[in-house]
Amino acid sequence: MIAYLMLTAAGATPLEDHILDEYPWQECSPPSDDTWIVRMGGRAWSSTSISWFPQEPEPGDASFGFESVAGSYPAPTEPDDHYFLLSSIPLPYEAEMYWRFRSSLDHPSRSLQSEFSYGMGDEWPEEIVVNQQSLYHSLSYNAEEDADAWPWDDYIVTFCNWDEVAYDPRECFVGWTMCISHLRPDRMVMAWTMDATQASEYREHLPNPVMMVFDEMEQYGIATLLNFKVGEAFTSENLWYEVVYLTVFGDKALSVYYSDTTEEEVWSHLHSDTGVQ
Amino acid sequence: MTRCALALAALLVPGCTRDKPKPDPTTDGGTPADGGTTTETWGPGRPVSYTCPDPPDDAVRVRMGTAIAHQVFYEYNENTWPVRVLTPRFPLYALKVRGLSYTDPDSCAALDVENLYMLDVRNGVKLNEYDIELLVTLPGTGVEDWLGEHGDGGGHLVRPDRGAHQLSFGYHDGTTYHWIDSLPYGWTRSTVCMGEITPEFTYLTVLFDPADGPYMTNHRNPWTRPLWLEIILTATGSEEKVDPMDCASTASCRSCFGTVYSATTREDWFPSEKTE
Repeated sequence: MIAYLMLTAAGATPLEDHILDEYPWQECSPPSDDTWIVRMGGRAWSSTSISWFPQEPEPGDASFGFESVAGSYPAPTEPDDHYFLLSSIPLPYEAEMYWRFRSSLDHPSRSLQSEFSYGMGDEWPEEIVVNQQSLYHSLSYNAEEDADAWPWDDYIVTFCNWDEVAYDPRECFVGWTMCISHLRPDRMVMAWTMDATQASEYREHLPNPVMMVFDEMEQYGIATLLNFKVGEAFTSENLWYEVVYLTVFGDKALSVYYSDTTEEEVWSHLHSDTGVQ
Repeated sequence: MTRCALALAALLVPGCTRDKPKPDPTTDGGTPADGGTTTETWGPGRPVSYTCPDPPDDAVRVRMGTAIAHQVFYEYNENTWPVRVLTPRFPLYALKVRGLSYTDPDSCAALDVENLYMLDVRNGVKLNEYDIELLVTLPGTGVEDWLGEHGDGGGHLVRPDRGAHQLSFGYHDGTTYHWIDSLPYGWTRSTVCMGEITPEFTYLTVLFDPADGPYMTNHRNPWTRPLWLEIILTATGSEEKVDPMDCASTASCRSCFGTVYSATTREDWFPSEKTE
């Protein structure tokens, strides 16, 4: 199992503490001084799916698919709240995004570990084919104005292209930089920065670029407390809880799928990079 | 795997031996309001297994007053692979803490629902207090592996080779709310020190360093000083004479804290207690 070999090999050589492993990774451009930075993936309902297809696709075929919905806030431990949405229960100073794209690159497990960007006047990066992207946020929440009446529609960001015909880019253009720093069999680390300051629709509530940092892993652990209800769980009689499959910890879930290809094929370069067999 | 082995792998230089009991660093909390006695068993002042270092002189010092926390002891079950794996593929300790730098009059249990615990800070009702979120994972086969100091591991949780953590905190200065997150790629540095890990009592400190910036000194959320955070977790229902649903009547109701054993039991992790 390649993932297992890779994980066990990681400890063979002393690494600087923040370095994940001995395999190549992409160092991301640092955020600008005025960038708001948000750690993502803490939401109980957070979910990222990666699909791998044949590594040498036919023209037009997908080799990589990515879909993620993630929030910036940790999940409460109330199981009944697993399905709540930020839009229905807005939390101040949080973000929630949806990002779905695919690529047709050869060997995307290597070539997508890179940094891509799209700004006003730029050609759309040919490596990234976007199906959908959106952002909900409350990063410019104002307690005096927003605490009683939440104008949530003002805090939804959708995207248009600078050369859009159907929409006026002066209203909705959002530039972005996506840096995938680590692509591994069981992990994806990414920083997605978006800049809506040129969009009249959004800049009032999003006056600064936002960098969302992801560290999604397949190897998460799910465990929770049985009958975890306010007023019931926090009693000495029920101090030790039975494990059931709901979430207390491990709310950063990455699901990986291989379609018409294999894990060994997708990650074959990890053998050659390190000599791990 | 021992903690010292982990430390060597990480090129960290923590003390690798059990240390003398930690002196009481506190002046508030931890004393049952209605009991009039010091907490010899739980809370601040209880001897811990590893003495965490004192904070730097210039650090902002924060003690978590109300905490909502869960710790999980994971043991990999080989038989589940390659079926959908619900546990890490190696033994792991995981801790998730959310909380406040003050003791909220509302129950920590009630504050847990819908993440309401942080609203007073973010709405500016509580000024210059902190809301805090921390996720920690430490690989190892027992408490001896986890006690001591651990770097942030780049924030890459659930690493097999070393500990990792992610920290977020925020405060309202009277004008606006500021939030700060630990970052990957070495952009920030932080150290978690586990002083004690038991089902009933877990003690840890966190030292967050904005490193060399300017990544944490942006216009909205500048943070340039070290932050030293002390977290004292007492199992729910274990504090004598404290009703976790009635925090308003006592200053000692400081944590809603539960323990989960994944694919194992308490006895697997704390065998010495079998004879007690």
